[in-house]
Amino acid sequence: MPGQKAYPRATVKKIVKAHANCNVSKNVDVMIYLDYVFLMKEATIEAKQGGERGITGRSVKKVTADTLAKFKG
Amino acid sequence: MADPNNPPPSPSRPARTPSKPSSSSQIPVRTTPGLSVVPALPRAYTPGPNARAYTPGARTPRGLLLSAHNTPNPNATPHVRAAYRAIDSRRAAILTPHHARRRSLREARETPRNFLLQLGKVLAPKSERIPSSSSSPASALSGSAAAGGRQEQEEGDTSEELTFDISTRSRYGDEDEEEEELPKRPRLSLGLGAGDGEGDDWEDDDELPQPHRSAGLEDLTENFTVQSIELPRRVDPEKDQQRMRDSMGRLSDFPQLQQQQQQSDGIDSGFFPPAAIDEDDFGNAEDRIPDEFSRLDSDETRRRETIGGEGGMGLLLGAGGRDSDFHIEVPVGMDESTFMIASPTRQFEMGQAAEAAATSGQGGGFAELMDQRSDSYDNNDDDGNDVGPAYDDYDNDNGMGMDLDNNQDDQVQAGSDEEMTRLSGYTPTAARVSLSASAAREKLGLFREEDGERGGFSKIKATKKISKHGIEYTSLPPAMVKRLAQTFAKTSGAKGNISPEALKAIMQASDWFFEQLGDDLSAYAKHAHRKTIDMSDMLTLMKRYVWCFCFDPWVSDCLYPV
Repeated sequence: MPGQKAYPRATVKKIVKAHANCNVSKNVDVMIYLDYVFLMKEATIEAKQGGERGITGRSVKKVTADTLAKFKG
Repeated sequence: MADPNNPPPSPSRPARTPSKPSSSSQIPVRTTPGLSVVPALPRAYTPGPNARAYTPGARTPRGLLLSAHNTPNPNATPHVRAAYRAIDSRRAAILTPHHARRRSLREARETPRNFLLQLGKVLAPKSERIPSSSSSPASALSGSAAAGGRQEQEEGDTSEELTFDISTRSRYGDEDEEEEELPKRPRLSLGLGAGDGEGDDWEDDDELPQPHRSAGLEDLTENFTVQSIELPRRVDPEKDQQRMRDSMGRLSDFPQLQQQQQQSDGIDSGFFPPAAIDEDDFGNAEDRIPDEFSRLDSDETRRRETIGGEGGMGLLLGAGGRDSDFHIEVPVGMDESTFMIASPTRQFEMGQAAEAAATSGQGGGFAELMDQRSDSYDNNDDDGNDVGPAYDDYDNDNGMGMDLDNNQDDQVQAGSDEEMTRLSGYTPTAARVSLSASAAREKLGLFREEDGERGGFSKIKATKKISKHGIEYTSLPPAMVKRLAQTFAKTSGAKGNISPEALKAIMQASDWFFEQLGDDLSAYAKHAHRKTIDMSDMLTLMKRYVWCFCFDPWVSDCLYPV
């Protein structure tokens, strides 16, 4: 759908701003969203690597910790 | 030190060192190849007044030594034979070319002498000896300081030629290890004022290495001392206990828990459910999950600890930064494998039983108040009850501990709390003092009364949360997250169905991710003394990822330098 937004930019910015307690400069939220997508991708890959088929709550929980640790700065 | 035994210099001395007429040697034996020194050897290797003859300063011309010893004396004592063996091996070492000889690494290890020698060679390659220093002008002329010292010493030492022969050989062998350095040694300041012959080599031998050794040992001794002081501190039982608590995920300082601990010693083993309970409750496949999340837990607690000074935590908690994230209790009368994780609601109830009865369903609002880290996705709204049925089977174990208030809501709440504890490694931390907690809750106007709210299982929706900085935010719209997850599910080959439970977990993970991201980005920005998160911060963050992806086989083509 052409009119559909890819992601809510303002929401992402607000989330990061709330957590960081800092202002977020222009276009950083795009990168953040990219990072988020990257996280999802990594988590999916990791889940698949771990032998999970499909996305279930259990599989998500299983890979959450490792993936988040991977994405820790 | 004049040796009374030593006769005046023998007439054969000039013959010994033909190349250096000035340097005198008392050993005529060496001048004649093939002449054995052995016949008079029984007294030869006697330490004592002759010990100074072992000084490395003594030098004999190399060529003369080669033929000096061919046949060991059959009458020689074992000491003498050992001395000969040493001499032979050293002579073999001498015969090897100078540059190809193996250097003794001991000196290089222990003393900075080589460096000093190199330095001296560079700084003063042709320096002349100071007349007042330990060596005489004659020895300076000879070009070898050690030889000079040796010469002067031997002027006094003229007792027995054979003794000197042996001692000279061994001396030569001793010197042999240092022979590379000796000619180059700058002795400008090292000879300590012994201008005359005898004590010179003594002092040279003794004094020269000593400052180095002591200098080298100073650091070592200091380090050893420091270590020996520190080690007992580490085994301090108090700290050990503390460390054990830390390793247990910073379990509790709560007096309540400590009481329990006193009652049952093995409570620590109860923190990790035994295999039987684990299988009953969570099945085999989920066994690994607590471990994984406990790792996250330590990470989170670390972060929380670092952030604790910023006020958000302490303000709402009214307690120190080391408050436990768990509220683990062992019910009295149960064995130690039984434990329960008290929800904030339960803490609150324990504090005020009367109010607890009325507000048993307050966990949501309470958790929202206490949720500085947005981790309680369940508890933020009634949404937590979405997954109530899914968690129902987890409640079996908890039900044993729920002796105070056993209504269904509480069980569901506690079940979800425990699940989130297992998932996140921390529950929304309750205030230790429930009074202040309730006061703060009322102050923030987040107090809710209805129990009936929890009955309905509403949809997951973007809800308002409060970050640890007290800023309200909404999580990502679940529809978007679901779409994204579906996309990746399809790319990974699975069907695009995302169960509500999975979506909930993904939302939870997303919240954690954004929280972690916000922490990291703010840390970078603050480090750069900025108040705005810049693109460079984001780039820094993403560059930091690279190291772990470099070792990821799936991204093995990523060869960025770390």
